[in-house]
Amino acid sequence: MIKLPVFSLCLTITYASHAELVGLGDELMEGVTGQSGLTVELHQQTSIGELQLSDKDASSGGVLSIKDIVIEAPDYSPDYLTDTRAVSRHEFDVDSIDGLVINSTYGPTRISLGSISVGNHAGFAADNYASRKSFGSLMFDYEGTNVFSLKGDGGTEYIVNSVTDITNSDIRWQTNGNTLLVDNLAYNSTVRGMTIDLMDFSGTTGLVFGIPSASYSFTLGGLCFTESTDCLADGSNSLGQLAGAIAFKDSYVNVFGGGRTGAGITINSFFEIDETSANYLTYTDSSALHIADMAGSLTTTGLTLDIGTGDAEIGDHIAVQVDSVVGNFKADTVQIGAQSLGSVELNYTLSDGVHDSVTYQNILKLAPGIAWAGQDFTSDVTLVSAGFDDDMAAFYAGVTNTSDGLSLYREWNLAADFSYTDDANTINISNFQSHGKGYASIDVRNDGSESYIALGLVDYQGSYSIDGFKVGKATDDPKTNATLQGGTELLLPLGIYPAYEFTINGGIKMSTGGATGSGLSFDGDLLITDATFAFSTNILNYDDGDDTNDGVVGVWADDVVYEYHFRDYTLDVENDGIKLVQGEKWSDMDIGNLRWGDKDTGQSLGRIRMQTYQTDSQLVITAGGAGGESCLGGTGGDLSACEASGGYWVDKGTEGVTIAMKQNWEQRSGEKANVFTWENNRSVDVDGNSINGTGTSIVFDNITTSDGYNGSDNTHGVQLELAIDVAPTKVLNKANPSQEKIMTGASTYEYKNTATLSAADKENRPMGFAVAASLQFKELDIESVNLIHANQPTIPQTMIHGFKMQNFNIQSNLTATPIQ
Amino acid sequence: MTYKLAVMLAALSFQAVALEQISDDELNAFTGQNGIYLSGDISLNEVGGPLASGDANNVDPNDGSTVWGTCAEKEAGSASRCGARLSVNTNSTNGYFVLDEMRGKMSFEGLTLKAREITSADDDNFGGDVAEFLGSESGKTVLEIGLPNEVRFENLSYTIANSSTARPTDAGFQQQNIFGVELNGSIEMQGNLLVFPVGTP
Repeated sequence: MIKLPVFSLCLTITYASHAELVGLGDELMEGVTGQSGLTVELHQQTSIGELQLSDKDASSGGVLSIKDIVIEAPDYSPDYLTDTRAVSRHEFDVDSIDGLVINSTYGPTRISLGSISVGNHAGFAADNYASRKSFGSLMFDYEGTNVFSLKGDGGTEYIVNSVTDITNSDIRWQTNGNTLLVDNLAYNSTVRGMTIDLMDFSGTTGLVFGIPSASYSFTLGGLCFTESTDCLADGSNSLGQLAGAIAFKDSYVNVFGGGRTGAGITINSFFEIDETSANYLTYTDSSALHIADMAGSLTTTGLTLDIGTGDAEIGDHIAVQVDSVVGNFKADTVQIGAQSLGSVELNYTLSDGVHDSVTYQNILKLAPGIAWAGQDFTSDVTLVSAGFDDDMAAFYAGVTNTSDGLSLYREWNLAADFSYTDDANTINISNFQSHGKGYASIDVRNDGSESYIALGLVDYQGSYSIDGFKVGKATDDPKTNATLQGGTELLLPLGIYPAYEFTINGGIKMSTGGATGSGLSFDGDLLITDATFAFSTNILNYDDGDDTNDGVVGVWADDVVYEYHFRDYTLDVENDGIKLVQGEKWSDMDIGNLRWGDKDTGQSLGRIRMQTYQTDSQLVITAGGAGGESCLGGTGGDLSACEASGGYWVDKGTEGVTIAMKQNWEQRSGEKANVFTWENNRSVDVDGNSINGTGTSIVFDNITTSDGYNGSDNTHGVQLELAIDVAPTKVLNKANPSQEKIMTGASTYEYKNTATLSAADKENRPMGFAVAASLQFKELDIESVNLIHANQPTIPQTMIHGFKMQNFNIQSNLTATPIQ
Repeated sequence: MTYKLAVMLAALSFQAVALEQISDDELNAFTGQNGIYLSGDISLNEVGGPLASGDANNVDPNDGSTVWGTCAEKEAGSASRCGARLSVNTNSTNGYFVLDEMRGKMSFEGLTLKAREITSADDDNFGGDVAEFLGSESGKTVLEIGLPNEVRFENLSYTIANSSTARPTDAGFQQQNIFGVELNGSIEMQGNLLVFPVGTP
């Protein structure tokens, strides 16, 4: 039985459609004499009052409503004042080789969708849609050409060829009177030999699109907030420019009727990147981030599109769900500016999974309007307890119950392996797992001074974990063959942890334009609660062949409440680097228990609280690691001098990544300050949980940086630079330190006497995760170190009345390998 | 006065609750677990620090000379300091305790770091103390810092002093050096340092 989608189409055309056939003059008639085809020139101004798409049946589904659809010429067209019609010309031809050929030319055209809504958000005609919530309005301007051919193969298939060129295209998304402009888009699509057929899949008929060859390319001039037609014309700051190209081969899309519940659409598909074509993506700001030489494939199974109803937070919605997505992706070229980072490879699977007895699926629900508009959040115990309900209320005070926008629910379960290769050496991030679920909202607003995207997060729960790293020569396939090791410990200063669980609430304001020219700017207030993250983990019984007895122990920050505020952040790509400038940041990370062992029940060291206050800090990621040859573990400018000093000579190549961080720790300003607190000996509640503020604390108060000669100049701050590479390392035999480990294969090795190693042996030293670090500060002050007892919380006992560290320059070269 | 100490301590090992002696067989049996084996070096102010001779206000209040500079400038006599300085005020009125002119380099091979669960099966490694350590628990996790086979020190030096001000550029600066230390040589180590919480959190 053929089960086709049962979307019904309801058109309510409130304006006459003005499709017009234009008479051909004698001269034109002469021009087509003797040709076998037909030419149609279409001048149209089409207005559709409402278009409804429905998958509603007796038990499920709903209606998607699109109101005020208009197709006409853009208002910037030269003749728009006298003729608002969009013009297109279509030449029809039939020949024995290509079949039906339609050669179309589109003059400047605008398609406007005035309002998009779904289900019970769509409002009622009776009150002139006063309560309607919309995703906002969309406007699509374009011009270009299309050559389309269709023929049969003599059997059941149709064969389609299509070449499309779109130029001078703009896309506008408008909510609440504010516009996000996707500016100056040009697009090419070439599809060769696509087949269309109906096929039987074990009793279910599917519409099958076979795609032996398809290629796409685009350029994007800018993205900004403006009412004009050009991000640069009115001085609006732009996100920057994008360009890309990708080609697929031997791909297909199968479409089935029926959604996740009742009517709807189900899609299975497979796409494989054609490596023989130039595949790339380039983002250009002051400098360029370039990803190229891509390969990979993507298999999607059970992708369903439905109109869902009755979500507890966002009501009726468009539901997108997938049974599984299995993919792999590789980019052999990753560059910032002219400098190479190396190559990256990603293998990933999205599929249903169970964690702590909760099933996580891969679902996206999209609903119109802002579900939390105008709420005061005073009934949210977690937010009120953290004093964050006011921040949430302030964020959602900017919209009303009928404001346009997008509310969404996202649920996911992901497993992945990520490999990074520099100078032919690979580090694999093993078994990355992530799952979560939560709500968010997105709309375009204006605060009176500028327009911006407002991103809200409501009870957004997430988590990730990794098993560890696997490191080796790329040719040895370390992902499969190398021994699992740690190494994230070396990245803790960057806030990179091997495992993290959290719930986020908050609001982020994003606008275009960076610190200089194009880029991205953002402010925000975030609260992370119910958080647990790991400083170091170890998987017990990891490689004993029995996954069921694996267990994770570690050092954990548990019962974490983390409040994070930031202002005037900008993100740019410039000077061969990605630069995040942090105008002002103040935060309060309150770790209820620093645990050893199990993340929830392990022994606790007590409570650790870290409050920070920084201005004019920055984070810069550049391509290229420590680079070149150097002596590790010794001194000397060449191999012999280095080895004579007890060190070993290593070449870290030209690729790699360097992350540089500068933080200016400021003097206390109201409640903003840099303070470190350790509290223990706390009382417990009836459940046995320690109560913060009831124990004894040691407080390192008002920690600041300065430039070394007074307490006020503060431009240098704390500067930390980490150069990250994969490089050979010297690993001694713990049982016999006169020997060191020499690899004899991908995972096999032998120990050899260090004193008699050959040059070939040294080439086969184990690969390690290499981090060269530099930490510098001119002056770091601690105003006082105090003891505070719970019975006298306002009378601290000062242990140290001042602590000043000056002129520190700490350099380290460390390599991490598996424990021997 | 500066004391120069050449240190060569062979097979430094401790028998304490938090230090564990491990046999060669047990060391080899750890293969395949998480954690890291670290090798490399750490240096402090090897060529100087970020305070530079050209800085404004980089002046000795007593004689007007340049205080901070690179270590090459110090050797040339154009600056008086290139090391790191730590000053601590232990009471609110009288002077500072100072660790001054801290410099040097330390290199090591085989420092390991991992979270490890101690169970009754480890009893032999602790001389029969595991039962007391575990109490009613079947296992307890420690942060295990495996001591490196060898730690080499190169020109590791510092001075202990009393000072009237926190900074050597502050008005009224006077400093009395008590003694200095310079360390060269190597230390060989075995065993693990185990770190774990005790007491009421």
